[in-house]
Amino acid sequence: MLSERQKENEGKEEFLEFVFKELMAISKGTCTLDEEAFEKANNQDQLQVLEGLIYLNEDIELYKAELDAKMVALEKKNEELAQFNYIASHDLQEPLRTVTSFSKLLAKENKDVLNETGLEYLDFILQASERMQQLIMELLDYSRIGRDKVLMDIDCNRVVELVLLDMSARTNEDNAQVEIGELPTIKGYKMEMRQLFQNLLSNALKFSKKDETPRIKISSQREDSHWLFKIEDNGIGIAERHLHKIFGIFQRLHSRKKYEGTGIGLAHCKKIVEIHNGEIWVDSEKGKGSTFYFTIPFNY
Amino acid sequence: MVRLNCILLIDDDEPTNYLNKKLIREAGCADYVVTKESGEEGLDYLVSCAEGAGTLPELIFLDINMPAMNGWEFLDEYRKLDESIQSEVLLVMLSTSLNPDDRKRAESMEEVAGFINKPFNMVTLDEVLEDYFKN
Repeated sequence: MLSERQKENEGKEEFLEFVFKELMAISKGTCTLDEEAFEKANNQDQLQVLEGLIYLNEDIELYKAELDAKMVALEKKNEELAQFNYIASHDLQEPLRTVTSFSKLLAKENKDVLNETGLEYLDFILQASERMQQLIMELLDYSRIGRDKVLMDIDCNRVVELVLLDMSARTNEDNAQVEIGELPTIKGYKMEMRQLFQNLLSNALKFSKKDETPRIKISSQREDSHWLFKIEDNGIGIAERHLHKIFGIFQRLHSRKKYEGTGIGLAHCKKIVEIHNGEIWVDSEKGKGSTFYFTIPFNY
Repeated sequence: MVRLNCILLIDDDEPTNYLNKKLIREAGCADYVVTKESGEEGLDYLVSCAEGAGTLPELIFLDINMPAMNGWEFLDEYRKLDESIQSEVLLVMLSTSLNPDDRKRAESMEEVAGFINKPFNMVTLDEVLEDYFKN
């Protein structure tokens, strides 16, 4: 025969087990607690615990529903934005192509009827429309990053090798010294990773000092939850007051005459790193080279 | 129409400077039109004027969105220039920006006399001259 005390203890244990089980269910979102559960309570305190559980579950379900609704709205907005970008870029291309094509025709077929000023105007039109075409293409590329892509194992040594092969004409011409450390194999998006290395390496070369051999060092190290990549150069560097804006879309620090390009390269890099759940940043001082860092988590 | 001695245009876009210079020339409202393609070049020019190497402009049209030193950053540096320069110069922002925050920001600044949207035309040029230089 169980004593009263033993019975009471068993009741307590059983109740605790029940509460624990329900708490687990609440956290998983599978809790079906209702007032019928009050029968499980052996005293006033336990009744209050059960009431608390029911309120907790209701609150959490409410929050979850709100969160779900926000998520759906956000996904829709995102989709809309991507669509908008795509359509805007495409629809803009057509009239622009007309401007470019007819200016080219004018330059080719009617050159002799234009005076010097006329030719100057035409040149402005051609240059501006070509630049606009470039801007639109790059905006389109930006919106496409990470869309419908498949994750795969990527040997970064191989990626860097291929990128450098592509750039070899430039590196040879500049007599650049490129040092590559041991790089890991990561899980990621292949085209994007290639573009990331491509942009960072071509920047390192593009913004080199005129009177110094460009030296670029690519390395990586294993950290707690991610790989840390490092791309160092001995180029012209970046002044501190500009550091915050270099990853923005179409941000440029120099006139187009000095360095060509639309200023989207680093914005691409940031987006690529971010779709891999990593981070990108830079350490630099004007005249003292730049070091770009980015991380790629192990379990992406 | 009012006639000024010198107007300075600061804009990184060469065709824009070209057009605005042409407009001012055709309006015949300034003896000299100086164009600079960056904030730094604009500042350097103003400093050189103070040293007697150039004609100090009575009016500056300043673009906002420029590489390296944008219009706002230009103003930060402009403020540090000698009082004798600032007191002679009237500064108007000339921008493509339709963002009302930019207009508000410009209007809140003591150094900025006005804010106008591109494209610049004879009517807006005339308004600026009438508003600020009539007397």
